[in-house]
Amino acid sequence: MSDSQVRPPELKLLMVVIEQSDTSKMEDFLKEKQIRFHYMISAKGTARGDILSSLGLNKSEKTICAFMTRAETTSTLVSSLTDRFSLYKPGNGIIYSLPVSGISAVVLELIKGGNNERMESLMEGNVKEKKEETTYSLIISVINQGYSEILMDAARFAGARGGTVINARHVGIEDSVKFFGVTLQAEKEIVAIVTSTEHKTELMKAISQECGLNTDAHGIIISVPVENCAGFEIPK
Amino acid sequence: MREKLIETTKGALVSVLPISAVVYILSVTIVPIPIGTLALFIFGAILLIVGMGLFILGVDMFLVTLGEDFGATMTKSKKAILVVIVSLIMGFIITVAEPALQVQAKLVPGIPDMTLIFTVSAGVGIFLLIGVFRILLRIPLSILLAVMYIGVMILSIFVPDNFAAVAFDSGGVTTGPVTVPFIMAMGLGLASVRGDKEAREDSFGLVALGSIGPIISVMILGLFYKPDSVNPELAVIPEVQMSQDVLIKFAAEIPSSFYNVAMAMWPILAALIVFQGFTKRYHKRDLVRIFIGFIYTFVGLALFFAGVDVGFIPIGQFVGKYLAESSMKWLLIPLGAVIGYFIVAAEPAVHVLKKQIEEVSGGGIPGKAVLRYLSIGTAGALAISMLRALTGISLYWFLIPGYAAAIIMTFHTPKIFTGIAFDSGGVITGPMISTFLLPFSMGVCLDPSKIMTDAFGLVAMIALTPLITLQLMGMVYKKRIQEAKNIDLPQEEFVEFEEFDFDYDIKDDPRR
Repeated sequence: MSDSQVRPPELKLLMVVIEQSDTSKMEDFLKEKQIRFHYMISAKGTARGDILSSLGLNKSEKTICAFMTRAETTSTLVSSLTDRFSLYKPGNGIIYSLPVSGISAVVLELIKGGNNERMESLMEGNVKEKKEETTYSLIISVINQGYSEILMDAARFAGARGGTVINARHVGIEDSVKFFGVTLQAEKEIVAIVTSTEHKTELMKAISQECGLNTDAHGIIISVPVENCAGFEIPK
Repeated sequence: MREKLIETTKGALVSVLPISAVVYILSVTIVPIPIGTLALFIFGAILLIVGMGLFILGVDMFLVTLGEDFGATMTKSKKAILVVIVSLIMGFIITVAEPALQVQAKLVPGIPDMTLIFTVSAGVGIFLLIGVFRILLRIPLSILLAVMYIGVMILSIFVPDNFAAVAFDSGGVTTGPVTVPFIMAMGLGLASVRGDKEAREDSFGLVALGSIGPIISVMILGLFYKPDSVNPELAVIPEVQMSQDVLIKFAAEIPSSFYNVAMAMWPILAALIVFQGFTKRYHKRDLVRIFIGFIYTFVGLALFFAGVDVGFIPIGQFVGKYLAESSMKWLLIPLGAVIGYFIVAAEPAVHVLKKQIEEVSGGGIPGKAVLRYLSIGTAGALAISMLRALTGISLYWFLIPGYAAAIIMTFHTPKIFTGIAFDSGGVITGPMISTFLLPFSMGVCLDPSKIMTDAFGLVAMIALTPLITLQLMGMVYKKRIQEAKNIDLPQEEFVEFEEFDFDYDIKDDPRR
């Protein structure tokens, strides 16, 4: 790593959770803002355990769109995304950003390169930074398949409003199991919940009680700080 | 809740209205239809819309969920014997359950209904097993398909012509709104526990093999079985004089439609109970949701089939016969193409296919585009079939070059498209085709002794064309991706940002 340089953080990974039906609208937005390297992840909003969800009448398919932005433009992007997808209305979607701690120089240049002009136009007249009074955390729980609803019940009881579930597979250091020529991996669910940092510990405790390592869900629960949140109300 | 209802209603309307509108316009312009038949048709279309809506709502909660979980669980068990048993039994009972097959069995003359249904179901069971083992043993789908279809062609030489046509049709029709969601989801479930890179493309292909099974098993039946009568009866067009009669006709049909679908679905429920007993995979809340999904699917399919049975069979036959007898015979070719284009969307299983494709490809292969290619393919199939009915050209003149082309294309198109294409051949030919288009082409056949060969080849054509159009779509897609890849990237280096501080306080951030 001799030729790598250390610089102040200048990139953020912006995560936008929207309705799946809005995915193409999101793609248009990204094209318009010339944002490259974006990834669409299919996910599910956590259904409330009430009658509507049993009747299959609640819409739960979500798309998580992840892309990197320059730190300076993040808040402007967040506010235009909020407008475009009406995120000020509860339930329409959420945004949060994660700090990026390292990146391939090529990609960094591609993200920065050629969009200085665009950046200026983005900054113009829209420099009012939003002061954030609360700080937020993202709680990520990796649990066995099928436990996301139990987890959400516990989290909701502890004050969470909602979360996003991504289907995943377990890849361990141990040799993977083979059945004929096919590698088998355990199904997992990743549940992401954004909460205010002060509620974080309380929520994590509640989750680990129901879905922690000692339970059938074998949950691994971590939290990371997030910024630039929009689109949800957090219990104060 | 509102959004979901709007979405479902929209889905149901978009799929049923276009084809209904085409038939309606036809009836007020070129083909005068008795007002009673038209009344039945309109009422049938309403039932279709309601049924389709409920089906769309319920299929994910019930059939797709079960299929995925069966597929994933049997693979994870790592017991070969369990995989054999589950594939065979589920393939069999899910096909016996297929209401589209029962409609087909009723229309096929000369073979007792149950003989045909069991032959077809056994075919699906065995080939589902082959399909699952293909995935486990990693035999390329294209090679297996090539071998199978060459086998089918050789077998067809020894089978009487009329039987061959029925065999091809059975292959297409079997895979309808109950089998497709389940078998397709089983493929997804299998893929979901796999870590290798072929997992994604292997998500498709089970339905494809499931539709070859019946072709082979029915042909084998044809080797041993000598049908006593080959003269099919055309459906009797019901007499409707008063507006009340419409309701009476449906009131008579709906209970039997509910009964048929119930008879078909109970083995699936039984399989669910056995599955839950062994694996305890579902929590109480999941079970409630699955059961409600079952109710939606059940009621939806029952209404759908009542609608097509009473409303669509008579009008299809009438329109076909009228046009064939009139001086405007040639109109059948373009009209067939238009009907073919719009009927695809009304097949319930097509919705499931679209959704699965979007899910597996993460939206990379748009469902709308798939539907368009399917529609174009079906339009072509209909045009060819009408030409065939009018001129009497043998089915094999189209089938053999068609399948040959489709098999050659498998080596040039991305693997996932081969799977999707061969699956959609089975998916597309469901209840709408067998209740509207089949009677339509039976009506076109003026010589009743030729119905077996002429009319029944229709489904085979419709099952063939998507193999070509969708693989073509895959080749276009591949070309575009290759163009995007032709950029040289410089040597990679990494930039490290300042170590992330865990006590980092946003308020102290110098940039704020």
